[in-house]
Amino acid sequence: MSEPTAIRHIPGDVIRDQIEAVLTAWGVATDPAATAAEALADADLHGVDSHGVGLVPMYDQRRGQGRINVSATPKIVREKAAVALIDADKSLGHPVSVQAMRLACDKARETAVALVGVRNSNHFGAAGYYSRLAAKQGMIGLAMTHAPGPAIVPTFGRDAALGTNPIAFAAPAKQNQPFALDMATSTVALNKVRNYFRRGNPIPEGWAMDHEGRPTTDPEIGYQARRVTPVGGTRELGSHKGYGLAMMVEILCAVLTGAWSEPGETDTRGRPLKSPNQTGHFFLAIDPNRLRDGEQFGEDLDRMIDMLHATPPVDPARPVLVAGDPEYAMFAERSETGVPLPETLLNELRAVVSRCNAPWLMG
Amino acid sequence: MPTIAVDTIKAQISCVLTAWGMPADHVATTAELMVEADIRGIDSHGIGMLPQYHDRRKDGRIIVPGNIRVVQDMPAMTFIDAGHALGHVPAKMAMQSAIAKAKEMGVAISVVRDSNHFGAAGVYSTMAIKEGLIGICMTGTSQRSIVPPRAREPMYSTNPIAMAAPAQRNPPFNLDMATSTVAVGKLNIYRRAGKEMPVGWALKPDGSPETDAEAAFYATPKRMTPLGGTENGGSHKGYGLAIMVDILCSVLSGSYFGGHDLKTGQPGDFINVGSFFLAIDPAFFRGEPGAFEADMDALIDQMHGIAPLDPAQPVLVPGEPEEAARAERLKNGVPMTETLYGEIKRVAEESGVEFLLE
Repeated sequence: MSEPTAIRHIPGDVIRDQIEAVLTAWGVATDPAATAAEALADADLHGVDSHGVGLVPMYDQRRGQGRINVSATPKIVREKAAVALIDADKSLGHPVSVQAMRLACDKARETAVALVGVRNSNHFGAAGYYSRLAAKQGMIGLAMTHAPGPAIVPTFGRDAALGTNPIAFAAPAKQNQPFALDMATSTVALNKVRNYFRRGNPIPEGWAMDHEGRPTTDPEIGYQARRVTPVGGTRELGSHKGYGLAMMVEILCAVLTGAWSEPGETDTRGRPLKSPNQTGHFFLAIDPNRLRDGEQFGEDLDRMIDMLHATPPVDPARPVLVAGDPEYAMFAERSETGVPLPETLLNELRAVVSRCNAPWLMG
Repeated sequence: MPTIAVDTIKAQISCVLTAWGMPADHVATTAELMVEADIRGIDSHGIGMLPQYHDRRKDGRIIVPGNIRVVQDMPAMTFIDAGHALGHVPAKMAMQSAIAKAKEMGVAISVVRDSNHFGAAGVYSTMAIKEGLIGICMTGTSQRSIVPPRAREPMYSTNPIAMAAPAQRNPPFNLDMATSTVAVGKLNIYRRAGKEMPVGWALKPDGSPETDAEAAFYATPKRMTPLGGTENGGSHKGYGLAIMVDILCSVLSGSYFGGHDLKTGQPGDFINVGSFFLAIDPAFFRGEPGAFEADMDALIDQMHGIAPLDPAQPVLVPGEPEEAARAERLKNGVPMTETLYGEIKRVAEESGVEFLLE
């Protein structure tokens, strides 16, 4: 157990500029660098610490391994009125995902619904950034990605087989902030287990497994085994549903786009070989104005959100929330105070910055 | 427990629906889809629903046959007003329309408003498989039985998500799940068995866990949990998914939310359930025929290849329990509780038709 590290508060725009400077130094072109920096800093501002600037050291590693192509040019492989498939050319996941969700929104304005798949991509940060992007344009947005690194243990299994495969969904209200769900299909993210490990606290039952796939509350074993439960936690509490959702995401992101297998490569029995590196994403947009007149959809969504907020709480000090509320509250706070970054992360970022000779902007 | 042949169940449903004045083609569709739920082992959504449909028809909330009409028709979208009909016919129409349009457009949705209970969501999503497509189906519900995290009162119901995708060698992927931790039927099973329920299935009015199945089952309203069960277990995720379902089904179509009119906050004369259907053509994305199905097989094989915790209980893929039930029930019939048996008898008598299950 390490000592609690010092924390420094860095403004969101400084984080964004720092990321942009690093990406530019890596050779990423100006536009995609700015887009990726914006998406990552946005996660930090919304309190999604696992998906912000803290990812940059991992991206640096993957760039070193040749998994991220900094000079990539994503291309539309096929396109029709309501669908498109984009090959990301191993680019950073964020710019191609912004491109894909925007394309889905543009198409949905004409056809009511549109779906854009992306293959051959990389980690795209927080899925919720893209679904909220659609909501800002008045669209219902659904964004998913599969994660090639195994973490979720299927119900009845011993070993991890699926990534934490997130689902993000957003819908525009008229008065309220958009409804914005962004959830891993695991009970908890791996980094949450790591936080318990760092603090030395036992992890709650139903979160993680040991190396043999047995439930554990030991934070060290839980962190090292990298086996988390699907949402539901245990079979009795419905883990087969979380597992089913994780598989659904795998199908829509990887199998549908062709990111699940290496093209042409098969095992000894002629079956497709799973790709360890390719990442696929799924972006769906629906234009509610094609079904409801004027502002009816936003007004009805406001009524639903207001109704949920007005539900009598068990504890008056803890009112009933709607998906997105914690992130919006965090955004308001961090826009004032800056984003708290631990010194350990700042040191890792300093190393990244000096490796690529980018300017250090974080003081 | 009596076991009833599938054909007998279908005949019983058909003659009851006919007696209600439903046109022959609607009877055929509805009976087919209801008995399909029984065949798949989804007991709560087959003939077991007939008594509730009967009561709702009597009190005027289900209109037979109902004026089912397309209110909006675009190349990738169909908007259907169910006219308060029983939900199966409009739902089948919606899924078929999404399938036909997705074959042209690559993707298509259908949205249904002012409908009723349509049985099991999975019978619609799996319609896409036969055409080589991915199918998704969701629906809002007419009751309040699920309590949001931190809340004391239920606000919506089991809001299911069903998704199906075709494979080649393996049975299709077929996920059909309520976004609650368990369905009401599960409480009933524990009540009958006199078993204590696990923490995380249901709540007391003060928000603490209810483990007495008798109390949970008879509570008015029912207070069940979103998937995740507890805040520590991630119940905000099950809650978030359920509201996503209600946005796509109820808000997008202008229907009711958990049986309540969003404009007045009150229940109305009708149930006004909304549903959402999505079809995707994998052939557009993969470019070559069979590529999607081959990768589906590889994915399913990978899941089956995971070492099980208990060798006697291998890792399953969604849809396999339903496939097993199908084989069993087509051969041996559908087991039916005495209670349901009695209720169907009442429905047959009140509808003036012969009771066929004897």
